[in-house]
Amino acid sequence: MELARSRTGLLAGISVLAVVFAIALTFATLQLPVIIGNWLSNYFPDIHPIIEPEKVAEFMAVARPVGYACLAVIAILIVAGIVTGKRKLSIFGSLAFFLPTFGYFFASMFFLAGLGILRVLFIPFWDPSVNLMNFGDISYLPYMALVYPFWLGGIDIREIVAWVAIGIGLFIFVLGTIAWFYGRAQKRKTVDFWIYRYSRHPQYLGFIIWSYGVMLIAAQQMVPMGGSNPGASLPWLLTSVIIIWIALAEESKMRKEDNEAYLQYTAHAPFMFRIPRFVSAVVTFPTKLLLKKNRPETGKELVATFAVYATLLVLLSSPFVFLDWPPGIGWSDWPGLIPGLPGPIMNL
Amino acid sequence: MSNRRLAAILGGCIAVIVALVAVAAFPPASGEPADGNVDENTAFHINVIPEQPNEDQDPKYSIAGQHFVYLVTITDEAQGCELPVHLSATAPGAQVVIYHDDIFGGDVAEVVVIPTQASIGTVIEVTITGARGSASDEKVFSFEVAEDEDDRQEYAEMLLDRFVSWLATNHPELGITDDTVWDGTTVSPVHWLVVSHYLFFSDEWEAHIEWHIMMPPDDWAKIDLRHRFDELAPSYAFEISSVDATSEPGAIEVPETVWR
Repeated sequence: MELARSRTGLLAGISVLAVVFAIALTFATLQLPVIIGNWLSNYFPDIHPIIEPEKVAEFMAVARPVGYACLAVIAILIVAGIVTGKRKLSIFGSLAFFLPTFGYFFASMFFLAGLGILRVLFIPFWDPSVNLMNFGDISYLPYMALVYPFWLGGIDIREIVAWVAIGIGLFIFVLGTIAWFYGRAQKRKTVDFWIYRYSRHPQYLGFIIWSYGVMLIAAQQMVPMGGSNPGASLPWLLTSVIIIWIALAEESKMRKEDNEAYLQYTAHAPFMFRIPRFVSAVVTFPTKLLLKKNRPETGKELVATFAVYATLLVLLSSPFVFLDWPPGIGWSDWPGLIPGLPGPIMNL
Repeated sequence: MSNRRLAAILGGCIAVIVALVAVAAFPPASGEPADGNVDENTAFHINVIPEQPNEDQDPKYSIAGQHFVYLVTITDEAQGCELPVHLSATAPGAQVVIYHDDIFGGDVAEVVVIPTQASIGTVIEVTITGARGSASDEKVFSFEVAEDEDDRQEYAEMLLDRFVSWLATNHPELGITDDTVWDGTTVSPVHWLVVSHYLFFSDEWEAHIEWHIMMPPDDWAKIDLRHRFDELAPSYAFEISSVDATSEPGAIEVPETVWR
């Protein structure tokens, strides 16, 4: 009885701690970019593209090659991590690839002013006549499914969805981190308790959900100068696929170590989170078709699986590109500016 | 998995992605005649309604959040050009949305400029640019953003409902029904006190509602309808002679211009 009470107390304490951390980190996610952006604007001041076009041209002449070079370095890091199996390289590369998403948080006339300078990395995706960023727009599908029914009912939950995603992502991440450290302190070979009972990779899951919220906030930012907001769906999509690839690679390594406790654990805990069998069958269908088994095991199989899923997701995103959808200023005002849709505010 | 199989999978993935990007970057040209002899550099002019007021005229006004809608058409300098003109627009201090940004002669595009709260007290300068090949044309317009708020939406919606119910029964040829969805915006909010105006947009129609703020029997209300994307002026107009007396709407002379 006493033991059960102390365990309940411990769990409650950890949950409160996780909530406090999640709230603090959510606040930091939203506020730090503004503070850093203001500081960076001392070094990368705003330029009015119409009043000072020559300054913009001058800046871009330097920024463009820097952007291409940075992206090349990051691509090399990610690919090197995948090919050599040194996952930390890929993790670092994918985080760096996602980081410029925070550049959208800083409102400016010139897109590289202040914190926007991070988006120098995205220049290669904006330079061509087609906006390559939208090749990740299939990522918005869950967002659309959540927002649209409420919108039809006259309730705007777009920002709420983004904030909640950030909060939930951080909460899961913190719970996972606490459990992992506790397991390490107890010298356990397999951490299989607390949140790990519900997800084999709570920290990765937390990161993916958190970054989804960040990506949504980036996409919702208003557009100066009558331009369009390309969003950051492609960086999020690729980063998430890389994170999942890393999780699969870690599992493959654990299975090879003939860790009986781990094998028993995987039989009960879901990979990321529990999903209906039908959805699971659809999601894993390409793997089964490609490898004739449920999961990749060798390095080559992991690379092939990563490539096929990344390509499939880009392929699924292509209708958004070819149909130039959503129209108008894009995701920053979807679905508010689609003519004929009712909404809580009066829109055209 | 053999190296050859892995190489084939990676090659296939790269080929798919390159093909997607190539198709997106170089879409098949639309409007190109069979003989391929298209002069994509044919000069043209863009025409915009409302026009920019002269110096001796009152400036145009809006309020933050209002949708200031410009109608844009093109006039080709030579006959037979079958490529569209691509429209773009900038308006510092405001959001810009363009409906039908690729237009041919006879089409009507809508450039919607929405001033932000931060622009109150400033002049919004709208630059509308058309481009086709090496030919281009540009027009600059401006309006002031006054501090005011939209307090007419509710009454305007009530009037719209009355007109729509009547139109659905008496003019089914317009395709307007009780289920037609309308989105509205205030218009000219600053200088018009005795007669108020409101614009509503459905997928197909722009409806301009105006009403006389007066005691019955002079509390009239009118609606005029413009078919979006192919008309520059209204094509139908109706009036309720007294709103309080619940008069039936009736057809009236159609205004020659849209209200802005």
